Amino acid sequence: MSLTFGTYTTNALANVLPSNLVLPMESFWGLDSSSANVWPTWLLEYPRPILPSFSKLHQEIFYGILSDEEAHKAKVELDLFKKRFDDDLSRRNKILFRE
Amino acid sequence: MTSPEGTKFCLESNFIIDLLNGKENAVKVFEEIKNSRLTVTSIASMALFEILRGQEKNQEKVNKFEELRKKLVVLPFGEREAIEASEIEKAQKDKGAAIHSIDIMIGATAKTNGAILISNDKYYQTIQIEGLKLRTY
Repeated sequence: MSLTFGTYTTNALANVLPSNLVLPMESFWGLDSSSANVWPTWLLEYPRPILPSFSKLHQEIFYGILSDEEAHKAKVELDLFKKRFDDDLSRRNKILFRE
Repeated sequence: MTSPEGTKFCLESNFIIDLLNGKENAVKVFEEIKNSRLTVTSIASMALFEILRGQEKNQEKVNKFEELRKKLVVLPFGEREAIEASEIEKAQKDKGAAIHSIDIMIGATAKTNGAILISNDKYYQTIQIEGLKLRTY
């Protein structure tokens, strides 16, 4: 197969770039009238950088500071704390109110 | 979607652990409510924060944890809360339901202070404390 200069420059971007980096031209069809067509085609087709969202940049610093193991351990200790508390209260109630 | 700033939320201990663990559902709910008035009961605060402080030796983590702590107002367990808790406990005993005193005290504190309790604890869904607003995640 022989490639001419023209076919190479026409197809190269679409063949090389991942599809999510090439903006679909359909998005700009509304602009493609004689009055609105002020942007050069190469500018419309140039891949836009993907920026992190504002919310991701401003995440709270305490998210995820505990590992799964640490979180599990904290929950186990919390359950033990609750159990001890309930048992102790029940024991006191028995003494005070003969429940 | 965010909650109105006037709404008060009470974060239950397991929710806080899930948040610190970065659990997606917990983070999503926190992002939604973080500009509201956030509270924690004195009982949960005592149980949870002492456990975490005692467990954690990494100062950087402790500092990050304090960032969350600073956002929370501690709701006291006073006379109003004690009366409410005793009424809830009596109602549960009359129904023959299991009594988890500490959970009842937490529920009573949230209810008395007009706060929405954020918890996945099945106990609250089972006993259904009248007038307590519960938000699961």
